[in-house]
Parts: sequence; structure tokens; C-alpha cells
Amino acid sequence: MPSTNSELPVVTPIKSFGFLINSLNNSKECQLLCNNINLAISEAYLYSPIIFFQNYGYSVGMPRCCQLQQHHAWGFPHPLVSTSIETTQTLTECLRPCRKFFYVYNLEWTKPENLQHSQYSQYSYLSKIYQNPEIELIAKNEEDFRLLTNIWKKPAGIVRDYNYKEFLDVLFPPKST
Amino acid sequence: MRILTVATNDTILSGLQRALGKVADVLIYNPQVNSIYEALYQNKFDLFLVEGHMIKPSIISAIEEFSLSTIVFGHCEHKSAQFVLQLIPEHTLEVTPCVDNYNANVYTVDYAANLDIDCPNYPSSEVVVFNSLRSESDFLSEQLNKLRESQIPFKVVGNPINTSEYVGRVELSDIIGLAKTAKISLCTTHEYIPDIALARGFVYSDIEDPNLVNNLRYYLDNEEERAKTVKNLYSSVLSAHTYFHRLYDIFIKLNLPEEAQKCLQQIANYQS
Repeated sequence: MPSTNSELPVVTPIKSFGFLINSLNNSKECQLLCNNINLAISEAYLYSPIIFFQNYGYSVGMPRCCQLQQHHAWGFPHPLVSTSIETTQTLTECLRPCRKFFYVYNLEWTKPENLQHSQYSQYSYLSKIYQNPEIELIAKNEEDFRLLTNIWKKPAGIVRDYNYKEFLDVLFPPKST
Repeated sequence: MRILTVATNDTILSGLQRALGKVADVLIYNPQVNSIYEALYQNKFDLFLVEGHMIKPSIISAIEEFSLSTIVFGHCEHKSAQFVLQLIPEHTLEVTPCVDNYNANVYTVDYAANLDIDCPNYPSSEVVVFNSLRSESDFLSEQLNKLRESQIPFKVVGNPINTSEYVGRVELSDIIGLAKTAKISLCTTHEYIPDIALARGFVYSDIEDPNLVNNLRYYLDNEEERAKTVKNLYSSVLSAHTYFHRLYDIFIKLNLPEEAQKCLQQIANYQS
């Protein structure tokens, strides 16, 4: 006998999201990212994060999620988070992500000697990254939030040290009724 | 017209070159300082453009020996300013448009505005500090600290300074683009004031002002006051302080009335 609609189990769709990183290695940032991704996965099988890397390597806390070369991000249709100016440039070229974020973990513009791409007009180069209307910024703490608001634009939220719960709140905000 | 310059990357030289390209067929020769004599022996030049601080005994003797018509640009010791731009606060910028300074066919040219510069569209901002100081200044850092403490949002562009609000070097088009959308353009030197004024930006020119924070707050809150000042500064720059005005004076002194007329035509085209 066919069951009625009221008897069907409630299915929660799996939420997918991705991170663009330069290199999967033993840096502090990478450790924080891997640990938080593993925590998110172990807490509930509701999330399917993917790490898109440029250079593959080995990290002490290897992530228990899918790891793909960065070019696969071009067709990725879910929220995508870049973690540096370099990966944000890749993010600007990705066509399908439903939302694009730049997690400003390091204040890279304060080291202009590293910005060799545009020696004579660093501002216009940085502005295309940090003030890109398609990309939402995420700050690391309140102080960075204030600085980003004053200099570039108001971030979408604050995420402390890759905290996965705070990330999920920013990437998948609860729908207002 | 053959023009000799000394190899520098100066605002005034770029402005004059840009304007010259629109009114005359020019060939600009730009050797290193040590090769000036070599260049003069090999070619005949109608005009010599040189930055004030680069004038050394060897250059003075070259000017005398070859009877070169010479334009000196940048700051010099000459004080007989003919035009004065009224700036905010009660502070003035003396402008020496084209003054016979050395009694020998040598004239001084000062900063002016470029016409028709394409600029990018930047999002609006509150205060943009244009830092043109050549070296790190403790005084500027102190003033920026005061702005930070009083929570006035600002960013610094131009020459590098050690602060998190510094966001990189800029080109002239960026300066104009930023000044257009900023509520206040705070300038550390006079280099870009005419360009910012022509972009209808509000210029605050005194970085050493002890009441800087209060005054900035006042002008940030008073849009009408800002609009009035912007209008006055814009019209005084457009009426006398573009690089075509400077070239007009130069051509008149060089007895080239046709080229001088073309300069006036360029200004008229822009105004219309």
C-alpha cells in the first residue's frame, strides 16, 4: 500500500561549499581549515565541503573531504570562499558559484612589496579584488571588520580562525520568514 | 617642434607633455642628465624643459652656451606668484604660472590640471589621503592616528606609509577617480590639487592643521559647504590653471602665436 505524503521522512538537502587555497600544507591557516572541515563533517552528515588547491601537499590534519585541483572550481555551483588575493583572482573568473566570498585572513594590502602584479597602480588592482561587487568579504575579527568597512566595503560577517559554525552562518544565513 | 627634457618622472613634465601632444607636432628627447651636452651637439632644440631641483652648474652653462629657451618646472626660490588658489582652511597655494626667473629666456612653471583624463569609477569613500611626501613623516603618522582615534574613516594612497589604511600606489587616473567619489581629499603636498579640483573633488590642503579632526568632521557633515567650495575651486582652476594655460604662456613667450591659439581652443572645447 502506497504511503501518504505525511509519512515520508523529512530529507534535509546536503549543503555543499568550497574553499580555494594556494597550497595544502602544514601552515597554521591550512591546519585550521582542515580541522574545522573535519569537525563540520563529523558533527552531521549535512555538509559536503570541497577544497580546491593550486599545489597539492600533505597536512598533519588531512581533511576528510574531497580535494580537487583549482580549475575544477570554475564549474562549482555552490558558495565558494577564496582565502588570499591570488585565489580571489581565480574566484573572479569562476562563472557558476551561487555566492562568492573572500575570507580576509591576512591583511595582504599592508605588504605592497608583495604585490608585484601592478607596481604602478596597486590601488586599482586591489580595488578590483576587495571592492568587486560580485564578491562578499568575510573578516577575521572585529578590528578587521572595522578596517575593511572603512577602506574597502562592509564584510558579510566575522569568522574567527576558520570556525566552521560561524562560516556556515555566513554562507547559509537562516531564511527570514 | 623639438623638445629636450631631463629624464625624470615628474607630474608637471607629464602634464606638459600630455598637453603638448594635443597642440603641436612635437618630438621629445629625454636623455640622462650626463648626456645633455651630447644631445645638444647632435640636435637643435626649440625648447628645454627641466625640473627646478635638477638645475646644476653644467645645465646652466649648457643653457647659456646653446641659447636654449628653457622652462623650469616644480618649486623654486622665486616668490612673485601672480595667481593664488583659495583653499580650505585659510590656506593658500601660490602658483607661479610662467615667470621670467633667471633673466635669460628661462621661465618657471608650476602645478596645473590635466584635461580629459579617463578615470575608473570607484565606490564612494569618506576621506582619502593622497600622500605625495617622498619620505616617511612622523607628523603625518600622528595626524593619521588622530583620525583613527576619532573614528573618521579614511584610507591612504600614494607614496608608502606604514599604516594598515595604506592601500597602494596610484596613477593620475586613479587620483581623479578617487577624488570624484570621496567626500574629502586630504593632500599632503600641492602636486595634485589642481587635478582634484578639476575633478570636482573637495580638497583639504593643510595636513599640519592642529584642528584637523574637528574641521574634517565639520566638512563631512556639511555637504552644502563642501559643494560651495568645490564649485569655487573648480572655476578658478578651469579659468587659469590647466596645463593648456601654462602652455599658452610658454608659447606666447616663445613667440609662437598659432600654437598659443590652439591651447585656448582646447580650453574652450573643454568648457563647452
